[in-house]
Formats: sequence, structure tokens, C-alpha cells
Amino acid sequence: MGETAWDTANRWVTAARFAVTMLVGLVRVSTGSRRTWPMATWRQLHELGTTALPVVLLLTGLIGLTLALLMGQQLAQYGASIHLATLMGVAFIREVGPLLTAVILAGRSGSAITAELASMKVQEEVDALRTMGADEASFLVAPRLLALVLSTPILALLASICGILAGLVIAMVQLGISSDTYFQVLLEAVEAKDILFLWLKSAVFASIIAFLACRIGLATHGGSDAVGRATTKTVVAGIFWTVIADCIFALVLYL
Amino acid sequence: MNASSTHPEAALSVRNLRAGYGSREILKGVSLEVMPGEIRVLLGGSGCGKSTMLRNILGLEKPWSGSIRILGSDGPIEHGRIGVLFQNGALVTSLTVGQNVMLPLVLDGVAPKGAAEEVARARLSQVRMGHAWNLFPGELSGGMRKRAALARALVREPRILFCDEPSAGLDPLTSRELDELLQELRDSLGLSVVLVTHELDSIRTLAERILYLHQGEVLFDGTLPDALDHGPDRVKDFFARRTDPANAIPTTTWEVLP
Repeated sequence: MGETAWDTANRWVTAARFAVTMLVGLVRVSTGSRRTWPMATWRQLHELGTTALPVVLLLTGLIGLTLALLMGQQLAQYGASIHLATLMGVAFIREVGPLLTAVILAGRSGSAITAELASMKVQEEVDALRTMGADEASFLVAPRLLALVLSTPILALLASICGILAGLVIAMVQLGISSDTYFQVLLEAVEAKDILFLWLKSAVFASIIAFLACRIGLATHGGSDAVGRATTKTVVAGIFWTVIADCIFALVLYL
Repeated sequence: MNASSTHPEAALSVRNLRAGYGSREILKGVSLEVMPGEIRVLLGGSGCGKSTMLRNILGLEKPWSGSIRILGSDGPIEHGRIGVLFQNGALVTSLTVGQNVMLPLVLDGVAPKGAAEEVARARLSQVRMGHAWNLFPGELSGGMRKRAALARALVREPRILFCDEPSAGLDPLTSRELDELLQELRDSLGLSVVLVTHELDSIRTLAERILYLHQGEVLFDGTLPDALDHGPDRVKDFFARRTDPANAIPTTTWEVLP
């Protein structure tokens, strides 16, 4: 029992230390006191952000269609079809857009980061970088963290818009609501602070995913089987902690 | 003990190094000295502590006790003065060969376009890899990867080169070419070389002195002829079994014991 508590405490201390190292690495790269490969952040932005766009838009669009269809039928029974716009706006901007984007990125980008770093670790590339004087937090972690934090809010916003547009399709086709009316009701329901919170939540989710993916990747030991295990661990931990963070946000912002 | 007072000229001086993982002690007070321009070979059976010793010298692990003095300094390693050739090359797979070789210079603040590229191209030509500038590590053979990694290790003009089993996974011909290349570079650049290897051909070609480790302790420290004439039985047997294929089957009692 005591040993388990000690191990848990040790894990949290190590995690906290890694978080500090990660932030220091980010500051060092931002201030130019440590160097990474030129354009590394741009490359990561492309790989973690741009290439994730189609799957994020497709999935949020499909979920938007499904939700709008189900909610539209219920609202129509009470003669409140017009409120589909309200529900879609509030649900997607405040919750579904950021959360679904984060879950997709935890599975896609988080696993990609872990797989890459874990492979580098087991193939001694990380050791080689250290012997060259590279600081792994600046060279490897900072570009990935920065890329995810910058791209996730944009992806979440686009995902929310995609979900809302899917709602518009259902509103027009199934409920006979015009696009003008849909957007008018939508803009009345959604406030500027909702967009701000979307941005903030997404940035926090991105930090959690980047932190876990880099930490698990760089802590990998062993052979190629260890890479597989690390990747799975990142996906599970990424989704778990993102949902926990989302719940905390909901309690703090909307309770 | 102050190593510098007894061996002021050593490029690398390791004194009474104790190291391990967790509570398991791997190195039990190992000492090693490498003179400037010398090729020193570390050898021994699997698990004897060669890699742990190298990792401690390179600062990748923290020793339990003892001192490590590199090029007159026992402070933090000056990365520009050492080069490391890892077992599988350890090239960064997302960068091209040219970018890999430029990497140490970029980390020093040299712009990739211009001076860094010029130096990197020269080093790649020196290891006969000039044609591979735009290739990715995944497109190279094992021998080419090692040569590219060697170019990267030498791009900062280090004074000591550490090589971890450079012949591992290479055919005999490629292995010999790499050995010749190492010797050529040592002669032209005046490097000290610390080589971890099991390959007898490499040891014969390159070793000026060997350090034989067994169960974390130094079993023999001296030249190869001395090892063959006056070394402990285990060391003689190590060479005998590798020299004569007929002796490849265990012949002594301790070898068949668990």
C-alpha cells in the first residue's frame, strides 16, 4: 500500500518535472536561446494540423447531421423546430466541436507523436541528439506542443462550423427552416465569449495531448513492441484526461 | 585521486567508475585512459558493462561514483569536442542525410544554408557519401547509414570519437571498409577513438590498446599482443574462439556452467 502510494507520488513528481521541462523548452525555443531544426514547427503544423483537417471535418459533419436529425424530430413534436439552430450552435461551439476535435487528435496526432518519439528513443536517435548538445525539450517537444496548441483551436472552430452547417442542412431539408432564420437564431444564441472559451478549451486539450504524447514517447524503453504499447497508452490517456478537463471546464464555466 | 596530476596528457581519463541501473551495480570501479590520437577498444561478453560505461562517459547516465575527465575537463561535456557513432547510426529519420550531417552545426547556431552546408558536404565526401545528400536514412544500406553517421560525428571536428559497435549488422567487406575509414580519419584528423566492438578483425586492424571487461570489472588492460601472450585465460579464450572456428564450441568448464 505504502509502496503504491510512493510510486504514484513519484509518477506525479516526474510528470510535473516533465511539464516544467516542456515549458522551459518552449520558452527557450521562443526566445532563441536553444535551437531546433529550422521550420520544425511548420512541419509539425502541417503533419498534426493540416492533414488532420479532412477527418475532423468529416466526423464532426456526420455527427452534426445525426444530432440535428434526432433533435429536429423531437423539437418538431413540440413546435420548437427553430430552436435546432440554438441547440446546434451552443452544443457545437461550447462542447462537441472542441471535445470531438480533441478526441480525434488524441487518437491521430497524439499517437503519431508518441510513435515517432518512441521510435527515436529505441533507435538511440534521442541519445544521439543529447550527445550533440540538443535539448530534447526544445528540439523535439517544443515544435510539437506549439503546433498542436496553435492548430487545435482552429480545427475545433472549423469542426464546430461544420457541425452547425450539417444542422442547417437538416433544418432546411427536414424542418423547412430557411438559412436566414437559422443563422439569425444561431447568432442570438452564441456569444463572443463562447468562441473565446472554445479557443481556451482547445488550447488546454492540445497541451494535455502534447504533454502526454511527448512524455510517454520519450519514456519508452525496449524494442518495437514497446512503441506499440506506448502509442496505445497515449490514446487512452489522451482521451481520458481530455474528458476530465472538459468536465472541469463545464463545471467552472457553466455551473 | 586527481587523474590530471598522474596523467595530464590523457584525452579521456575514467577513474574508479561505479554505475548501474536501479539497485543493480553494473560497473564496479572501472578505470580507463585514452591517450591523444590513440585507438582504444573496449570489449567483453554481453552484459559486461561496455555500453553502460560508454553511456556514463557520454553523460547519458549519471555514474554512482568515480571521475570522468574528458580533454582536461571534468565538468559538463563540451559537445563540440566529442563525436559519437551509435550502433545503428541513429540518424534522425525525418531529416535527409545532408540535414543530419549539418545538424550539430545548426545546433551551434550556424545557418543551414551556407557555411554549415559547405562543411557538411566536405565531411560527407570524406566518408565517400557525397552522392547521398538528399536521401533519407530509410533509403540507405546499413554501411551507408554508418558512414553518414560518421560524417555527422566528425562535422564539428571533435577531438575524441566514440564508436559503439560500428561493425554490428555489416557484412565483413563493409565492416573492413568502415575500419579502414576509421583508421584513415584518425590518421588525418589526429583523433582519439574509443571503440566498443566484438569484431576480431576490427580489433586487429584498429586496436592500439584494449580494455577487457568482465562482470563490470577490468580483466585486462593492455595491447593485443600482451593479451594473447600474458592475458588471463578468459581473454585468451575470447580471441582463440573467434580466431579458430573449430574452437567456437565451448571448451572450458566455466563456459558450460549456467
